Amino acid sequence: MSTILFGDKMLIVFIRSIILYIVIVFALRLMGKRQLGELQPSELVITILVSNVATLPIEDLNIPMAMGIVPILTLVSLDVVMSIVTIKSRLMRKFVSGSPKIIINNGKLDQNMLEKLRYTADDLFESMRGENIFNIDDIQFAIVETTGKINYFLKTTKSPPDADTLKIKVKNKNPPLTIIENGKLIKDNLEIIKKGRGWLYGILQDNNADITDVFLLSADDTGAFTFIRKEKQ
Amino acid sequence: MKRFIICLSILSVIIFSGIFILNRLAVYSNEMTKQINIAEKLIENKKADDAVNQIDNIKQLWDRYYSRLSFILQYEKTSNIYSSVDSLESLLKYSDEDFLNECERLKVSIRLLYEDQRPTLNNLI
Repeated sequence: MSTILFGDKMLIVFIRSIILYIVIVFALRLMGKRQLGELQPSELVITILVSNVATLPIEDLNIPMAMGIVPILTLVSLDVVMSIVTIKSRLMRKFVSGSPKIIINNGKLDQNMLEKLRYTADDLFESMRGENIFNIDDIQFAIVETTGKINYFLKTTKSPPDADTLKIKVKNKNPPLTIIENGKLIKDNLEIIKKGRGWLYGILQDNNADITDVFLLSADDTGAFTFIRKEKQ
Repeated sequence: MKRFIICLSILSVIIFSGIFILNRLAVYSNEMTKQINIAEKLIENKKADDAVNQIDNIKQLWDRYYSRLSFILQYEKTSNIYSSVDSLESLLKYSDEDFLNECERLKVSIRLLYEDQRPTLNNLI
């Protein structure tokens, strides 16, 4: 660390940091989007290890770059291989990620399971409050996922009514997608909502705007849209 | 599946690179030891001039290996050998015994360079 403070080999540290940054970004992309959401136990281990290993060749210039890159790529590759093996094998999945545990069944709290999972009543209530549930009697079923998150299913009497319950006929529709963001057209989203450029230019013409004038344009497949013009600087 | 193939390829490249590096290290270690043995023999046979030439050969050889090994070995390990090789010529002028001792030390350091890289149980734990 002293070498960095005194500016010695600063260029080497700089270049090494760039290389490691690229390797880590590549590694995280390789792990996929799953890694960026809630972590499975094995993914948490990989994330902690990668962040530690990456700093070694930056801090200690005696360590060759390969000694930082090789473990990062090995850990990430092993994780991806393991995740594919666990998709194919339920037994492996259970071994690597564990299995979800039911803590409330038929409205009855399983205290033994809670103890086995080392969850306190406070943990449970904290999680419930996070889901806007304030009374344990409202819960019909609760399950602790392999990520540690608790999911709840409310008693029918406590659930908000849906269209089926109210016997109302509604049409399912997709949420709106961003079509233009900060003057940039997102072509893929235009294709997803099955609209052509003619439709888009029609909207722009009606609003007397060019693509570059648009801050946000979102639309769904029914053609309903939200148009926000860029504010003048 | 594409991701799986990329990962398997990365793992394969790492494994084969590791084996290749280990093999190269064995070759470098043997070659350096052989050259040092020749220098030792020359001194034992009182051929000091030939020994000086041989030390030059050893220096050139290590120069070549050093640049290759710096990618994979810790700087300290390779630079220690570098300074040891560099000191051979001056030691030869000073005393044959010191020269031979340094040669032995050098051979051990070079052998350890290879031994430390082998995935033996000792090195792993």
